[in-house]
Amino acid sequence: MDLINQWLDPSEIRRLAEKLLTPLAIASEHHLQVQPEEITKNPPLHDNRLLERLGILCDWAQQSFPIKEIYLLNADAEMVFGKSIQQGAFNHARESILYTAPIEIQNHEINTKLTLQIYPAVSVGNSIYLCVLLTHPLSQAQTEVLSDLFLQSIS
Amino acid sequence: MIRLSISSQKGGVGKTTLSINLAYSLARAGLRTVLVDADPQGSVGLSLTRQSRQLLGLYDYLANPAAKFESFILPTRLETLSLVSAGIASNYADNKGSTGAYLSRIQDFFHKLAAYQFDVCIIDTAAGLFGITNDIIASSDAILIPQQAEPLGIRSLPKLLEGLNQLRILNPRLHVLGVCLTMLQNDLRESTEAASALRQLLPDEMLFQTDIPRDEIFIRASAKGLPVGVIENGKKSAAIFDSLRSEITRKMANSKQSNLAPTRSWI
Repeated sequence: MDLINQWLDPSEIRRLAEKLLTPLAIASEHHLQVQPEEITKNPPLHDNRLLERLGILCDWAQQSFPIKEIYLLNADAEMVFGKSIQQGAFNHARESILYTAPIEIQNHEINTKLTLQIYPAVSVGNSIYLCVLLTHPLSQAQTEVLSDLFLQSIS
Repeated sequence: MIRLSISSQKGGVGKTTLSINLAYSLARAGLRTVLVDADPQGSVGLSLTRQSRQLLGLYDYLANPAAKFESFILPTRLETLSLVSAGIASNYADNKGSTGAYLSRIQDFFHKLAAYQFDVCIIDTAAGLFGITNDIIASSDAILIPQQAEPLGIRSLPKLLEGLNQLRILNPRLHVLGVCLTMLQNDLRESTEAASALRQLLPDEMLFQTDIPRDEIFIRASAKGLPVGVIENGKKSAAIFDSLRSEITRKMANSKQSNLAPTRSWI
């Protein structure tokens, strides 16, 4: 060991190795006690649960990935909430989705499906972005309601 | 199809030897196996096919995904073993690009390969964790790390572990099967000491019990363009890779990850 101790920090190596052996998804699931897949199996929820759902998803995503920024997009991938990023980088990143989870929501103003997508925007410095993409087009009024909910859920 | 990358931080650790002979062992056990040469140096191709530089392969697909996919898959004399060479375009391949630049194309490549009903895909990557190699590992289900049993090789370990932890951000389902000691020389004190130190440094479940010794038979096999199991006096060395295959199967069976569940043909 003397030979190795001259060059290496054994405790650091063990820490890194044990981190590698720890399943990432299980750690996140344990923390939240719910999986995004389970969320999708639930029946449509009441308004206040919608907020909670989005919050749980955003929390889970931020625990599991080094999320840099969060976006809410409409069905045409136009930004509803969040800063704009380079369109080219955005399109390129969309080809490399890391994680997708559908979310079904229903209330008196919004009755639609959303898709949570997490992907790396490689052209802008290996950043990882979380997007909640609206699978079906919404009216302007519906979009505004959802945007408000989304803003509250991540703030 | 389970995608298993064979990758290391340092070059010259016996990665290609391990990839070829493990793929051969898996194929001989009846698993439909494809060995992908993802090293731009084309080491697998150079070892197994003399015309490798004239064969289309992975890097040609990355350059032109519209090319006819069948032309990338090369049959071998062993019915259950196929090859994908690095390809002609690998002459110009640059592994220094940013991580993620080829991620979607590589995922697409594996998706198309899986359509050919392979049970397992062994990927011999270039040394180092950067560029295309990172994209390949990030597109894999599992990684096996050959580690040369000598002091210089062990010094690269922290960088490797850090790099793999970073890659798990891109692919949280990446399963680190473990480190396999290679080029072990039982008659050389430095080599046995290095192996012993590694066994103390790493958690047990991260190290394979099977070690690959340094043996001239691997050089002879490579010179003939064959896996070690088919050359004269090679059966004993081939048995080492059968042992490694058994360990891998056990680790996969014990894994809770659904993407690593061995199919019936594995067992």
